[in-house]
Amino acid sequence: MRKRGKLVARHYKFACFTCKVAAAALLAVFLLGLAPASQAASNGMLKVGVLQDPKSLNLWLATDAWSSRVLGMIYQPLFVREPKDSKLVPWLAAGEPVYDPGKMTYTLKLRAAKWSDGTDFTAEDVVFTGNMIKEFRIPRQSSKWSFIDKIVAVDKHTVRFELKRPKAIFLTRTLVTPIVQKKQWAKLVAEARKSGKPLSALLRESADHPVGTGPFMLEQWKKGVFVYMKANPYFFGKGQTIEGYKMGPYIKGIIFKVFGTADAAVLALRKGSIDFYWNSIQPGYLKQLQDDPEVKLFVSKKSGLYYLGFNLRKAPFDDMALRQAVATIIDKDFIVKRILGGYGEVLYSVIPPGNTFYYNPDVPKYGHGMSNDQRVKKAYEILKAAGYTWEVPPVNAQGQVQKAKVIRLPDGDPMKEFTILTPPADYDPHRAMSGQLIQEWLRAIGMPAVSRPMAFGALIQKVKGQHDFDCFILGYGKLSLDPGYMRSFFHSRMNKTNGWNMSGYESAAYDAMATESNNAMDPKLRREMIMELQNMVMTAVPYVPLYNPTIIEGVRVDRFTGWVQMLNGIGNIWSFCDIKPK
Amino acid sequence: MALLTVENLGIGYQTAKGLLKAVDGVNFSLEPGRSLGLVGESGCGKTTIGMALMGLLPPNGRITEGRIVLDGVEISTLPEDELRKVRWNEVAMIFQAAMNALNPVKRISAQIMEAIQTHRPDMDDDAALLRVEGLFNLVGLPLERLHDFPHQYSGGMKQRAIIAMALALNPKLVIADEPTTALDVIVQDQILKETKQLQSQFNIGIIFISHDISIVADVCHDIGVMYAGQLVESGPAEEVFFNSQHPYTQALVSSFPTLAGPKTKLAPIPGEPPNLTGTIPGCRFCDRCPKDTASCKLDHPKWQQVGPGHHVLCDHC
Amino acid sequence: MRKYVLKRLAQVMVILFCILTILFVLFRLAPGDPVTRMVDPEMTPEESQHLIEQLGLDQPIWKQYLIYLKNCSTGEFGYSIHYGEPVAKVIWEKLPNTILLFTTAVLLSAMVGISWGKIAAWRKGKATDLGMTIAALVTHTLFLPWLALLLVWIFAYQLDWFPITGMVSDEVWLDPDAGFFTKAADVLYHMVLPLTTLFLIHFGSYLLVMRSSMLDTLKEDYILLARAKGLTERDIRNKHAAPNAWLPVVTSVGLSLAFSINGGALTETVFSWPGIGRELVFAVSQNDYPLAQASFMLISTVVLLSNVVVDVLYAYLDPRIRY
Repeated sequence: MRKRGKLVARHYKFACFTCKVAAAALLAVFLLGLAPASQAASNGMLKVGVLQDPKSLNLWLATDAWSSRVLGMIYQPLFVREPKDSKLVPWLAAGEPVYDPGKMTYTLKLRAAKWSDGTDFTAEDVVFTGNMIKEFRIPRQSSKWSFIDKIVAVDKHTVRFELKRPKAIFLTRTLVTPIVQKKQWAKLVAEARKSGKPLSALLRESADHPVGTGPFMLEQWKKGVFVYMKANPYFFGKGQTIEGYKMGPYIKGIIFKVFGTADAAVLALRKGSIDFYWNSIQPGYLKQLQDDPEVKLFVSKKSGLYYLGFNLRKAPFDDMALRQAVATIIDKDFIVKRILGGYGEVLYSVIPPGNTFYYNPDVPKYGHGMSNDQRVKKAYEILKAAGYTWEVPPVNAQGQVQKAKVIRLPDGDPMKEFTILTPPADYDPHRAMSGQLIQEWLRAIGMPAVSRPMAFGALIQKVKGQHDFDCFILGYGKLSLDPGYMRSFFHSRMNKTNGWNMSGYESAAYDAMATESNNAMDPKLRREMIMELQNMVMTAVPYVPLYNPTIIEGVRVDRFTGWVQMLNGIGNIWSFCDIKPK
Repeated sequence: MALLTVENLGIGYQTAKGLLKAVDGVNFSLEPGRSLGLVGESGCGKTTIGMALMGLLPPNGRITEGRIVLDGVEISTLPEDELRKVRWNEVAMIFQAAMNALNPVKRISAQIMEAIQTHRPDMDDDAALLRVEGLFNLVGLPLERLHDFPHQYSGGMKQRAIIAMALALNPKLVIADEPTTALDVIVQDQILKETKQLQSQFNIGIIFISHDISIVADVCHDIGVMYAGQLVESGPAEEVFFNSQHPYTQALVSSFPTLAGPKTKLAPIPGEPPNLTGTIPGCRFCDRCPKDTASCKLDHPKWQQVGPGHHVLCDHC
Repeated sequence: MRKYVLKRLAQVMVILFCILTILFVLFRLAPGDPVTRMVDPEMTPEESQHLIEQLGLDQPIWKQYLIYLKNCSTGEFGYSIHYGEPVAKVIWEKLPNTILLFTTAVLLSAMVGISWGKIAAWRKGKATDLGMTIAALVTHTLFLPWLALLLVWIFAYQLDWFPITGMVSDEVWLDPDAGFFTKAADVLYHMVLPLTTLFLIHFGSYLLVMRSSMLDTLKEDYILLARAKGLTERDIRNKHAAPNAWLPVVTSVGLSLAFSINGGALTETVFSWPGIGRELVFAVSQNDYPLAQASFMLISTVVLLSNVVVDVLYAYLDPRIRY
């Protein structure tokens, strides 16, 4: 064997290596020198941190929350919710619509507003928008316009809506549809019409230079990085007082900056790279933000609904007593306290309390104010009365709570293992953890529950598409304030593949009242019916409402002031029209 | 004056078990144009001596005693920069062709030119190439294969290329370490003959390292037989081969078949060489020696002259 | 050689066709569809159904497959369901950003990793080697988001040397006076932290591969011969050892370069880098079939082609290999 020669390499040079280090150092110096220069005057420019930029500027396609943040500054509806009581107030409209019950028509006066290109906003634009929605059957909008027979431009600033039948959502849903400019969209519509699949074509139209009536207009968009919006000089509200707010905007513009993670956005907020992080802040970040004198936190109510749903189409969930027992055994206070860190409220009805007009505080509140033992005893009573038996009951002869074993259905068969489907923890840790807790509570009374996180798409497919499930936990972060969903969630007609009645609740009485409520033009009457509907739902409990998280938002206090807090937080049109540079 | 003088050379390797004395008290000298064959089994120290002559001991090896004097310069104490000038210029080495001694990703011509231009920095590419062509003619390689890669050559051609490379700078001393081991017998024979011829033509001193005493006897003027780090017998080739005195040499001779000699049974040597990490008081071969006596184990054997220029390290010969 | 390359390219075409089919099947087998998963109570089932029809998703699966094949053969990858834009446009908007960051990162970590690996092998057992090897092993096992956040926290937040994630600063890009070089410098400035993170995570693997390859090479006899020839240590390392040690490293770098075009969703997310990696993950999770299929096709094509390139390069680097 030959041995390797002696490696005498002491003299060896780091020449190339040294070159690289030198080059890197040079570059670093160059870059650092550049940094302060970029702190250019951005006075009066509000910087808002978001986690995604709009997916498109076509508002009929981009309906997600992130897109709406930007597009909501541009496209305006006829009516908006005011901050104090979340009541609808005229926005592009000049006043309340005038109803003619005999002809079933609404007549609406419009403001003398202008589009951001300087042209007049007219009744023709409203007519065009409505007709386009109807013609193309635009998703999420068409059901709000389908009952309107004709939309007529009476004069330049008057629109008449001729209804086929009375519909409550005309006021609450139809009139909050964003209005687009006929001038801009007529061309796009004409193109889309030529296609064999007009809706698909319309959604693919790129409305790259959106023209709106809102306080801001799009100036520059660097995809995935930032969206720059300038104050719209033609904004109709400028200088006017609406609902007691003297309208701006008082800022030059808004820059939406996209961050990949909440971590980065929170750091940017603390560092001053952004003035407002437009997203709910997770409890984990609160400590550092509370201690930061430069940051102010706003805790606002949300119109969210997170709930446990049953599959009423199959045993044992077809039994109302069992559903009530499950609703009783769930300690919602514990979930809110432990999982949400106290930032949320317990829900007892499917309409959250924040929706003050329609919320029914008097529905049956299962397990409300009970201790754990009381809960078990109450659930035990309900189940025993309904004919359920146990090998070892959850409450012994002395009335003490014990670990139950093998619950039997009234027909004597032991209850089969069932699954609670939840979104995975990386999608929503709260729902996944709630599933775990509920599994344990159910096991304590002998029910063989298994909580199972499942990828979101698959979960929806199983629950909404195939109805192949036992229980599930889902939720809505931002429910509409109009309670029209009481009908879609629980009407038997919606109990079909991809229908919204995922639980399969069916009641003729409910169906009748739900339909009637949606057609009731008198808000008070409608309110009464919605109250009763909540009562019916909470008696039958196809859903067990669990919690409604509060929204926590953070702003810097050093540059801007005058945020307007309302339901769903400070990120609203009122804030952006009202904040002023310090 | 002798071309090369090795005096009382000791080389040790630092190992986990202590200092391994691979070479111990070796003396020999070589006149210009003469050849010396170092023979012995694996691990006897012959390759270590070869490496020491080039100043190429591995990092854990060092010369512990004695000295190496090449052409009046003590190379055992030269600093690395000086040594580098000596290498190839004065001492070249012929490696075994089968052992990847040629860099597979470089052309043969480039590899030989590199050797030349390293030591003759003023020689331009054309001149160096001309020199390589001359070497190719010398060793009998076709010129059209000048720019081939090593893998395109046969074993014999590679060996010739290596010889050509060794001769590139007209060295005074060439160390040939097992130069023909992996070649088939006919090619081996050719190359040995040519080597011998080139040696006398250019008056080069050669240290020929091999485990095969019959080849060495054929090629070299003198033979030194090594065992366990020591030279045990040395003398003119015929003397040592046909008149071996040391029991180890005798065993070595009889363990190789010869075409010319009488038909004898091949005798493998039983036993193993001793461990070289400790100190060995007596003769190193005595464990395997048929003539072993009690005194052999106790005292160092003494050199005895057994013929003209023929010496043996054994008290019983 | 030419024949070989042509043969390989033909193979690539066949494999691409298989991938095309596999992708189609895979995405259609995945649960959910792009419409159903829009969990929006505003959307009625009738509207969902209408949208499904409009998107052509109500067609029988074989018909969808044929349409897909026809479109692919004409280079027409359709419209992204999510963005409502041609997928080529969506990809083209994000791909350069990814290439800029990830390809640079691969090149940088390969260059440094390889040259340091060379040095480490050369100084085997010495402090330099030990330090480098340990550094390589440690950084290689670091969890990327953790390291990323740490760097952002220290250098962007605490020291305020660099911006908190992102690719450009709006101030520079909205400044009408900013020229090309100012903008380029701004991007570079934003690239420092993500590049450092990727470099730290990746240079170790190149260093280790190069080191071990180099160590194998150093045992070879031609190194001994080179030394016997009186070459300087530097020449031995760079002209004899390194070119041989390169060979196994080339494959690794070639494939890394190819894969670098798919970016990394994790890196892009933590550094708010508008790259294709996030789009890819997003497209898959949103069942945006056209976008997901086209992105994967693009990646497959680049990886397959780079395999051919690596093989050709191999023949160039190692004369023993001939096709």
